[in-house]
Amino acid sequence: MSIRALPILGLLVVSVAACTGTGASAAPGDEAARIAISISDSGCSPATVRAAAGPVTFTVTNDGTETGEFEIVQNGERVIDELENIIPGFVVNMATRLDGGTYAMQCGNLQTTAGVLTVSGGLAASAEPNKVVDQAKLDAARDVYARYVDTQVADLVKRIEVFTTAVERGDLEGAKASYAAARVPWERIEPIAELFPDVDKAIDFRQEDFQGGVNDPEFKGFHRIEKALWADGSTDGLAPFAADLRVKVDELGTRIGALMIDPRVMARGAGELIDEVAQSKMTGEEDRYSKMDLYSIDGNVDGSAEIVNDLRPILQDLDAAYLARLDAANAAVESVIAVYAVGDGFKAFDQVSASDLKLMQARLADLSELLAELPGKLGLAA
Amino acid sequence: MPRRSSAVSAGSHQAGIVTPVRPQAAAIFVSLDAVIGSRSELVTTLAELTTRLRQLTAGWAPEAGDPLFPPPDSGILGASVGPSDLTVTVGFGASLFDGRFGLGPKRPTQLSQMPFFPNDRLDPALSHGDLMLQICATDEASCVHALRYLMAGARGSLVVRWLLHGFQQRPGGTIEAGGAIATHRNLLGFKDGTANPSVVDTTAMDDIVWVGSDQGEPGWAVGGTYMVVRPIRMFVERWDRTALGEQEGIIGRTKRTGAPLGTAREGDDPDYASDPKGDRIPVDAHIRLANPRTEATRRNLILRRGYSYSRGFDDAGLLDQGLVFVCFQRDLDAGFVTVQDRLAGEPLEEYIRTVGGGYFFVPPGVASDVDILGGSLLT
Repeated sequence: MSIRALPILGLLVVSVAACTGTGASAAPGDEAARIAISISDSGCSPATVRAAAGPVTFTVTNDGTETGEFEIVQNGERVIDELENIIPGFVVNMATRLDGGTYAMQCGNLQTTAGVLTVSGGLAASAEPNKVVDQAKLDAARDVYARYVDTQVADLVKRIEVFTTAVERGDLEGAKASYAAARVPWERIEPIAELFPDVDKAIDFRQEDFQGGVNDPEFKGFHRIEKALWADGSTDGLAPFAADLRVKVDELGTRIGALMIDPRVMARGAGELIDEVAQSKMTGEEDRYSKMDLYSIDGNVDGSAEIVNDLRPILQDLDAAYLARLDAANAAVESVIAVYAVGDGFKAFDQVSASDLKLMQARLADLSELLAELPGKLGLAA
Repeated sequence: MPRRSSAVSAGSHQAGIVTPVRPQAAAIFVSLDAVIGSRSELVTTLAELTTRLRQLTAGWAPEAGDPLFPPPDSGILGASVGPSDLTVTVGFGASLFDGRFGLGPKRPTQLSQMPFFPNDRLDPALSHGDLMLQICATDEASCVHALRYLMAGARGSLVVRWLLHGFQQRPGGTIEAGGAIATHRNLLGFKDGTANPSVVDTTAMDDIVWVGSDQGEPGWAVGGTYMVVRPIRMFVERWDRTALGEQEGIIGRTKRTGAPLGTAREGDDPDYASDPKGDRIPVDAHIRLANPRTEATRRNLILRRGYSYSRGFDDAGLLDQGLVFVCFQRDLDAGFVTVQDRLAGEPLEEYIRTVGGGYFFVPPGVASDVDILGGSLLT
């Protein structure tokens, strides 16, 4: 499942120098630069826009004949911000905050050719400098986490290779045996992977996310293959799905490689991983065919604990009591999962007793409550 | 102007029992399971619930909060919370007295897991539980707010086992011609609670509701009461196509006025002695079986405090509506169990079925500002 795509708010303080390019005006201090855009049936005018990283206000006029929209899109799919249903003749302002990079602008309707928005600079400065934690410390923790993410991505690529090769060879048992292991690194880095909703959709969406359900042609990825392996007991016709999964995972690796992880995304991610488990994995719906939910759950919990670990030196100085409560809550979650560990893996999810399920539910909820305070403890604004 | 309620400072008794039900048009019944392993954790949990309850029932203005942190309150009631006549009544299920917390020897003598009665089909997903919270207030939003605020304080220790929303007719809808305040009607369309004992009659409440020191109950339980909660499904489509005369015969009251059959007014005595063969009020009419009004059956009186429920529809496309039957009594066997035994086989059974619920023991109210709910049991 996907988190809502949010603009990444950076924390590096980038001075807003005089902007160059069409439409943008220099703005002193934190005042937003203003860019006028006309949308019409033929696209954006101007079609090429430059701005500096930071707050930007777009003044969008619909000069076309039909109701249109204005979207800023990154990496082909990720909508950074948008205005919808702009009636012809109307002028609407959109205040947003942009990191350095190249974006596409969709004007009018989504079939029109996109304009290009080039933003100079690094991560956009947040509205307020962090008053709680030295930015350099946060960046250092982020760098440790980024290395973890890189390691997991490399592991994911390797395990996906094993899994998809087995599927393509028609090796049903080999495919089933390598399915859960392939999911673990994916689940560990879910807050990062979910920054790319198109990839997330192709890799990990469930059948109910699609209008056509299990037979929807868009239903691909892990769970499409899982359904065939366990429910149909066959690898027939799976080769295209396996190939697609491999391509998407490789693409994910490339995109993550180019990503500068925001400490805020990292801090929020710890809680999101646990919320993800609590909201949609306690029901057994994630790996409903293979019953290998505990691998996914353990992966999410691992990924969350990693973030806390990477922030540990900061939290130790900031609020050691809070850190101790986090550690205790995390250990409580891990201890109930550990009951179902067998060898290197886990028992089937339907083996979890009703009472342990309730215990898991309560302990995850407790951990979620604590992790909800993590960004705030670190002085990170939403 | 909502009255300031005092759910946790009621002295010897908890609120929400002899509290007048009239302004409390909405209720939530939530059964919770404790997933903690020790007595001290249970004490911590109940202490947190008590603290939050004190806040809720007093009413307060939640702090605005720090933008970087989750807000301290859900905000669904706005900047000023309640008190909205809120009461929260906490009961303990028999399962709380199993081995987990070392409470076995302190179990109230009549507290057990509620058995199936003849017309029951208790759904395990809607039955029993370690703790029962009865949340009542003027409106649904206040109940929902209280539920969320209370549960946020016990995330790691309590999980929901089952939950039902209840409602009553709005007070404004129950003022009858002439200004008399009327008994509310249940979803069969009949007045329900006419013969209920008066909650302002403290002698009657001592006789009927509150556990005394002369009953052989554990000392901690004195001032408490046995609570029975039973969601009773009503097959309303079928009931609505039953002839009026038959409906009235099944209940024993005139539908429009609520008067016992053959009498003029709701409050009239049904005078069963003058009608031994049931010519006027059938001998198996619901009100006659439930309360025969004889000297001998005085000791079977109970205090009812039910709410209607409506929760969608079933697999057959029938409306899923009914009554969350709630009653309180000092002696469970003499009270609810005896009444229910008398009702076995009543004609009304064809239109109703009990689908869940449980027995709970409501401990006495908190003794002081530092006491916690269940303090007499746990400390």
